[in-house]
Amino acid sequence: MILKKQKKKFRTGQVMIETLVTISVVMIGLLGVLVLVSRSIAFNYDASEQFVATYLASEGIEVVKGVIDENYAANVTWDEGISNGQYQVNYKDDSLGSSISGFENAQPLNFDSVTGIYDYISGAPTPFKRLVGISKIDNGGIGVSNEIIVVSTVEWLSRGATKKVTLEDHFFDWRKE
Amino acid sequence: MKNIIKNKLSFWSQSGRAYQRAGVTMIEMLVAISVFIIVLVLIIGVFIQGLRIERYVTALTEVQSNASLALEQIAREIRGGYNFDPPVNNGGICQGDLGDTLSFKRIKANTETSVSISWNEAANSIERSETKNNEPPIITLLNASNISVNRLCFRLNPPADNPRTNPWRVTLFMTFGSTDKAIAEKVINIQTTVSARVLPKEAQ
Repeated sequence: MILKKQKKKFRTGQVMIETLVTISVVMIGLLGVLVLVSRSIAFNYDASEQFVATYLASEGIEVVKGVIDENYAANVTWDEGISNGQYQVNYKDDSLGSSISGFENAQPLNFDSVTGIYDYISGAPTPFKRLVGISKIDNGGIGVSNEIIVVSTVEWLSRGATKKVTLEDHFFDWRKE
Repeated sequence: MKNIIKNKLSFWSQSGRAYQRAGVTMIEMLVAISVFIIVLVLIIGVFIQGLRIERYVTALTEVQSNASLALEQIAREIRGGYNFDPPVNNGGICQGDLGDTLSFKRIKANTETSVSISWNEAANSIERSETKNNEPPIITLLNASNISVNRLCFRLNPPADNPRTNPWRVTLFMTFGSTDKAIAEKVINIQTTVSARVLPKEAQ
């Protein structure tokens, strides 16, 4: 009789533990789903930032290409006004301005929500900083540079981590007659 | 009679146990049902939330890939274009030297073609119009129906330059989002610059 009672008591405890284990397993499963869901939104946000940064970086390269093309149009040396260094370029710039050393000295791009323009003049600051690095190469040691390497980097702070997009383009003096 | 009373009594005396047993089952059942319901509600809640977020993320991803496709098509047209006209403004959002319609020429199958890319402010869409040999224009839509283009402005650098010697360089300003009302405010603002591969002096 005593044994029977003990057995019964023991059984009740077992049911309790079983229930607790079941609930905790279900909870862990649910937590996994929740984490997955919240991460997917965060990753989507990261993707959209990267999307914007890639286009801003490609704009940096196009501005340098614009300077080279303008030199051809004006019949001057193709690399006039282009010297080694890092530059902060604006979308409507026709020249590179003065060199800036490193992202810590770079200004963030502003975004004007009325006009939709990213520049350094109007609007609210965005997390994006853009620097265009130029290195001129004299291939074959002919005394003039015949290759310009343009590296456009956009750096931004996202959820405590620094992220960046880097695009590189090589320009050659192929239009030279 | 005595037996019956005894039986009855024993029923009552035993009923303490019987009642207890029945009560335990009842409580157990109640607890089980309530635990089950709570867990079920939690699971359904998480499931619904998960489905909703999955729908949003899918919509946003679709919008991004769609917009990059449209941008790439526009950029490709601009790279191969020449004789760009300063952008014209038909709506009210693009201001200053910005316009919502960009017209230029392209060579397609050895024929000079007039191409114009315009943002339809009312329909939130991008249209591409192509005309050659005085034929009626062929109009195509560059974006899918699930993307809402809230802004597409063009700027030609430098704006006015006649006769033109400076290279054609077009900056695009684009704001877009999903047509899904719940995530309509999650817009992406893109700005990029594309220059034509042909220089003005080479186009003449």
